[in-house]
Amino acid sequence: MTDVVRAAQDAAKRIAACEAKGTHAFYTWSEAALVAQAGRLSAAAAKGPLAGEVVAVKDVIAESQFPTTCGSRILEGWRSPFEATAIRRMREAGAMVAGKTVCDEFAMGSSTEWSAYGPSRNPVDPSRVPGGSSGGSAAAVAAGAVAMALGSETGGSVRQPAAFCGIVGIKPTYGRVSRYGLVAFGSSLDQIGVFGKDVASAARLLGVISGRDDRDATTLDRIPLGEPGPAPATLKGTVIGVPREYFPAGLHAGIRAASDRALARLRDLGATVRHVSLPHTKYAVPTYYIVAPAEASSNLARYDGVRFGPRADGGLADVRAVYRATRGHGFGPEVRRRILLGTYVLSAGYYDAYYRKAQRVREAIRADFARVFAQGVHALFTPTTPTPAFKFGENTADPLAMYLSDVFVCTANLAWVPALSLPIGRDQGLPVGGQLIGAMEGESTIIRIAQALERSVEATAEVR
Amino acid sequence: MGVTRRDIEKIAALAELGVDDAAAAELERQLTRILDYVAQLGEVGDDAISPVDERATRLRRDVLDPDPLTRTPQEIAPAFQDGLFTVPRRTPAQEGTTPPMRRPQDPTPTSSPPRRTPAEEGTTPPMRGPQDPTPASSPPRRTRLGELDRGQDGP
Repeated sequence: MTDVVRAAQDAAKRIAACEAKGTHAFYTWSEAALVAQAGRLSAAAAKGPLAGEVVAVKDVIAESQFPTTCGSRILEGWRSPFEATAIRRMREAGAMVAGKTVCDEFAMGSSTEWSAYGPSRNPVDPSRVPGGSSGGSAAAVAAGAVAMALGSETGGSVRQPAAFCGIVGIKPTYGRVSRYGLVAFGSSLDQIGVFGKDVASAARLLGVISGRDDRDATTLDRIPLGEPGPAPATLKGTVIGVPREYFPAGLHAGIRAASDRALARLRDLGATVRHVSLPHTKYAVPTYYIVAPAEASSNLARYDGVRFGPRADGGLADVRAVYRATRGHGFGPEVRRRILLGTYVLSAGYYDAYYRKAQRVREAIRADFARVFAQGVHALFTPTTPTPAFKFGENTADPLAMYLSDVFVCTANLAWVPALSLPIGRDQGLPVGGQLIGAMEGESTIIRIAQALERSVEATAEVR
Repeated sequence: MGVTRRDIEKIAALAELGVDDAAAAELERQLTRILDYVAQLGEVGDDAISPVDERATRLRRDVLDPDPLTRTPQEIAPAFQDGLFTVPRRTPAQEGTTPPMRRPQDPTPTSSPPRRTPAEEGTTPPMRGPQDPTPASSPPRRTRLGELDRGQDGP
């Protein structure tokens, strides 16, 4: 038996154990598919940088072995006729796809509670959400089923679940990873991101999937990031900015204590910590909830029951009635809400007041980051989330409360800059994430800092 | 600014989205609350903000380079006939009904194009872990493809 076949079988055992505990990280997976992939690996791929690695994939990324449902009834059972560039690059590097993971419907949500096929549970505390929208991928890594996974971000959907589950998540610079095969939500914000059990695992996966792709004209014309270097022993000469807007007076005490401890470790490593200001931060969530739904309302127009997915057509004779019935029944409440919100802010009479205004404020948010990084700051350190993982049902009745759980993460999507979350401690048993935000194309810098911090911070120790 | 029932009806029509009365009432409240929240963007003056600087898009050559598809339109579409996606013919007298989403059970595809994992196809559910602990959240099922209610397709 080859090493990769054994790796596939071992991964299947770990996934089965993860799902037997009720985690529900996966919509679909199979040992047979894993072993078949191992058997098909080319000689070159079997010696690739990800040879024998088993990667879980968020179900908004097109992959041909398993259905791609986006967690929605409107794509129930749908199988993609092509694969995402990120998947192709993973395969060429020797990786195998474990299966498709649970997510909020069309990646709209922060808890996986808007999945049409049931949520995932947080492996650290099953009474709590794993975060979202890429919660299944985060749960699969946190449960030890896989060492790495693909997620996607439009407004923090990798970093927030990484923080809630106590693992590493990286959102690259917009354009670093091809969006070809990533089902579109908010096209000016969307980016495939990665999860890892540690910084090096996540960075290795990112290194493989990054790089220019002619099938996505917004990809950066750069060489792939490649393998991460070793963790630096010191951060002497590195300037870490601490934006005051991410540490409000009422910040959760455990989050503050964990952040303070991580900043102390960064100082111990030789970094210079400097207080900075990003004055438009408070406008990030309202800006995001205009821009993202506006783009979503356009992108999701394609789900009309004509070209793919199920159709609500029995008894209907009018094609517009088919559209309305299919979309009305096929989309869940959060997706319907965002489509209508996006349609509203783009409609005649409201476009200038909402969408144009939000685009201008977005530019101000980007300018905040550009100014700080131009002043010699190498990376920003902030908490990833305002609280640890919340309980099921806590925020589903109030959409705005759910949106505010992304207050510290959606800024990087609006500004296109890279950011990552790594575990920096536990508060009453729950993981706390620390966020490093880099300048445009600054992934290597934040990964290097995270590798150093990871070695010195007490990631699983209580903070108070 | 309050969102009215008329606003909901208008945007639902623009979005081709069926919304029933109960949902419309809830959406009025929720969208009003969200729009009240985003109204704080009015505090930001436009003077200090430069116009949105969209990144120049790289253009590619004008050549067709489609990805080879592993499944045909017949397998993907709810209704496909003679090389065309088909929809019901318009008969206004039948408007206004909203039947449930069709959930065909037949997992068999209508043709057999090349697939990456032929040995794994055709099971129901197709790719599910052997010890699924969460039967309440049923896995996605395959949709019957290429099916159309011919009674509605008219002559």
